[in-house]
Amino acid sequence: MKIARRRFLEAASAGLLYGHTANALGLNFGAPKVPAVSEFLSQTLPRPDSTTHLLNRISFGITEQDISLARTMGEGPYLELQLNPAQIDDALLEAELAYFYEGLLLPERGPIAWYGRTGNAARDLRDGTLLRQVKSRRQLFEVMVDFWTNHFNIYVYASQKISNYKVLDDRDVIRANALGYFSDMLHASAHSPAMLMFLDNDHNIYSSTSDRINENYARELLELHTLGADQEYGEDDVRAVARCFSGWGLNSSLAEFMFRAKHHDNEPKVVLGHIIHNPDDGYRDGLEVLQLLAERRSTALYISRKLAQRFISDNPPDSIVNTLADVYLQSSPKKGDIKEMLRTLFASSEFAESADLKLKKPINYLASLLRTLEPELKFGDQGYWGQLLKPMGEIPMSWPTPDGYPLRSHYWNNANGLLHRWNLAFQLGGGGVNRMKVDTDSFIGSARSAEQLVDSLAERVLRRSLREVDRNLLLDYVAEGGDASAELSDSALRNKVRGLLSLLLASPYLQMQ
Amino acid sequence: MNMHKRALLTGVGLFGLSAMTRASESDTQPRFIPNQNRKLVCVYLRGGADVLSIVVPKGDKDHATARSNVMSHTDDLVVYSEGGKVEGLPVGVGIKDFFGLHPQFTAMLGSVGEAGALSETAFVLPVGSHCEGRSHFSGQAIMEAGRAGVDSDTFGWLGRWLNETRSSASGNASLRAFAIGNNAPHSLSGGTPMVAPNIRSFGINYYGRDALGDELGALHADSSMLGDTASGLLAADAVYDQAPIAGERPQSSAIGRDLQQVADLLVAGVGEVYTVDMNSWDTHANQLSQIDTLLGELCAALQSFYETVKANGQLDEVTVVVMSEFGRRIQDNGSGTDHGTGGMMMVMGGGVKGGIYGEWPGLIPAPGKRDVFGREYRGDLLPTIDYRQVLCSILERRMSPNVDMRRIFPEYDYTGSLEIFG
Repeated sequence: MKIARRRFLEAASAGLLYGHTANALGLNFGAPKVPAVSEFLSQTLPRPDSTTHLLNRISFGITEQDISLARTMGEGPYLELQLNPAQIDDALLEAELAYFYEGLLLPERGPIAWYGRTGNAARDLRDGTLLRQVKSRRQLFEVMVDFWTNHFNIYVYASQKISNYKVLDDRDVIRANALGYFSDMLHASAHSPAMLMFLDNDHNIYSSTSDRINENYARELLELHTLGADQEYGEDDVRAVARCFSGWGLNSSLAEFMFRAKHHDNEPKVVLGHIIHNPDDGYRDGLEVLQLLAERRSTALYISRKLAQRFISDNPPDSIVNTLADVYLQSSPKKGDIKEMLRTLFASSEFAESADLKLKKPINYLASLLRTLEPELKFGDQGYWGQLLKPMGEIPMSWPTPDGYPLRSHYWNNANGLLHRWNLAFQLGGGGVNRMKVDTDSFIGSARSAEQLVDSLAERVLRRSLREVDRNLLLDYVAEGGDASAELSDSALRNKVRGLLSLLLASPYLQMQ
Repeated sequence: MNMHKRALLTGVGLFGLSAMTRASESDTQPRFIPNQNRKLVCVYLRGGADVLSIVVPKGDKDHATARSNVMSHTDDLVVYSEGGKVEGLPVGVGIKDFFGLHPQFTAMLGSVGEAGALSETAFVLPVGSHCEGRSHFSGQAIMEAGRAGVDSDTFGWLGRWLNETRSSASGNASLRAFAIGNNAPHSLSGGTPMVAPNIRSFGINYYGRDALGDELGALHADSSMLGDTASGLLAADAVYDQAPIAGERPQSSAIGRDLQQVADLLVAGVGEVYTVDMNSWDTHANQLSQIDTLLGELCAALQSFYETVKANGQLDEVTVVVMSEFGRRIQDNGSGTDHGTGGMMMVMGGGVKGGIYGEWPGLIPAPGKRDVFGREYRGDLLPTIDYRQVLCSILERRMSPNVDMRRIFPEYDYTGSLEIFG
């Protein structure tokens, strides 16, 4: 065994493995772009069946309950159910949330007063989000909340006020519209006190004597929220949009949006060739800009590409992006019917072909291990989950810049991340710790031999078969090189099931989705 | 196994350990080969650092008006009289009359009788990239790619350099480039970077007594996404175990801790290229206090790093470059500044001729003056120096004289080094 390891390392340092992969990815800068879906050779793992593939992508990990429900209902009806989260009973989660993160569920402006006293808004948002991702039965809804939270990213630690206001933003902007219409979410985000502060629009003030136009929100609105970088706008448009939003700020004692007419620039502006001029009602300037942006095909393409990057691959085929953009533009007057876009996406051939093209983000990886193993979890212990995630580099709402955590798998593919993923897999596969105990014996089931153990765990944990080469490797591990069909002692089974679980959890079978 | 790291983890000695462990390198197994090449540390200030608050052009006639709301007290500025060369200053005005460094640079002056990092730090300005807009994300992407245009398949300039110099590298191919932090920046893309697991706490915590590295390696080997990553990680496991560790200096900031990690790797003899990110330079509002905090952290971290590397006798091997995607608008917006164009770069290391270098275009340049890319004035500091010239100068003079710079920056015509090295 030691020899094999050394040989593997020598191959690595001699650049053999490196050369192989670098070539596949187009090492030379002059190399042509590799077609998207065939981009990764890692699609050599045995394909999961279509239900497993769908659940891998629309959830934070597959539980026994999910997969059996999906198989009973059929994929279409199950997806429809997930697209209508109000029909899913989530009372258990709500109770836990209410007990540990009470402030998040207070009505109206209550959270502001609450967190103004406790100062725990950032913690509750972070931990409450993790709790929902792991335990909510409304999994697709939570997946989309994660997606939009990053699209309209607000760094929750930017300031105490911003974290307090982010509680409202999370509820009234993101969660209220996560499966609704994009144009509604955009409108809500532009009026969100947290966003107005995070991107400094509360400093965007016009006066005839001193120009204090602040471009921060305007630029990110165009680049990150709607049109996408370098799409049909220039520096003059950024300036004009900033002037349209001058005077948009907040009443901080009420934690509410407020338009201050005296801080608004009432001169005519030209945005993307359209004249914006409302001398009697300057507030309308911003509204017109939002509507204009929501209706542009560039916006439809940008949102569609991001959805396809999230659910299909880092470089999704143009075909699906165009199809989704058409769906985005079809609805009227509201634009961007998110449910309809998702229905189209999940029904597409591009999606069907995309298994294993995405590396799970750290949160998705942690959650998928917890949902796969269903360990005994200590209540209210999400702070510990945050500690596990921190060295991997992803904690909800903690990306400091307005672009949000990257969608690209390559960003998350690195040795530091993999080290912590492996260690997490060994920790949980090895039986967990006191605060998350995994009953590994229960994974032995009726297996008595190495063959039975490997095959039953592949089905239960990976929900697909293993490549022959991987299966042989694992059989060798469990049977210690002996006869894989021979009956093993109870103690050998109890020991080996832990190592085997660890290896399966750490493997590309569960890292990819 | 791992005497050095274990000694450190159990707290047997912190300061002074490095000298001891370096002397004992001959005890280590032969697979640990210290890299012979020179080292480059790239510090990226994310968000667009405001050059005018860092190297303050107090002598420019338009400075006081343009920066009335975000100007630090000019009488506290650090007078930097070392060396340097700046074209375009008013006749009879010297560098030290025209520029002053932000007061936080006091930390880099060093103590009595001991030269500080500032003595071997060159400031180059105004530096810019060919990115047309003023977007953070396009600006960073283009600058880190080192290409005229960028798409998702474009590799980074460091990635290309690593590939170009691969055959002459003496160390482990998987362990040449390290990103400090949780993830790798785009500049390293294409060069199989290792995002550095912290050498002080590193360990693969296998289940039970079985070291399952063979199995893990094999399970990942055919994955084009994870194969290299896994082999790099297993290689690091082998090398880190043998690595000596630098004496620790207490760090109070993230940038300080990150540069400490670089120092650890340098002392361990692992790697050639290291990247470090520092966030929050996007000072649209409350700029004065933000810059004060950020620069305070940066200067303390650079000074500490300089001292550590110097104490280990490695200063001449190491070059640090500090860069940002752009500088900020000349006219402030009341409490901060919006995105601009021309910025600055700092180059620090043994043998760097300390001082301010560049060509000053004036905050409001003469009519018709264009920047180094041929662009007209639009209210931003006009870059007179292409950032690629600074990077090429470093690569040529400090890293690998024989590499064709066209292979690293294909659209750039490198005509020669800046005169910042001794």
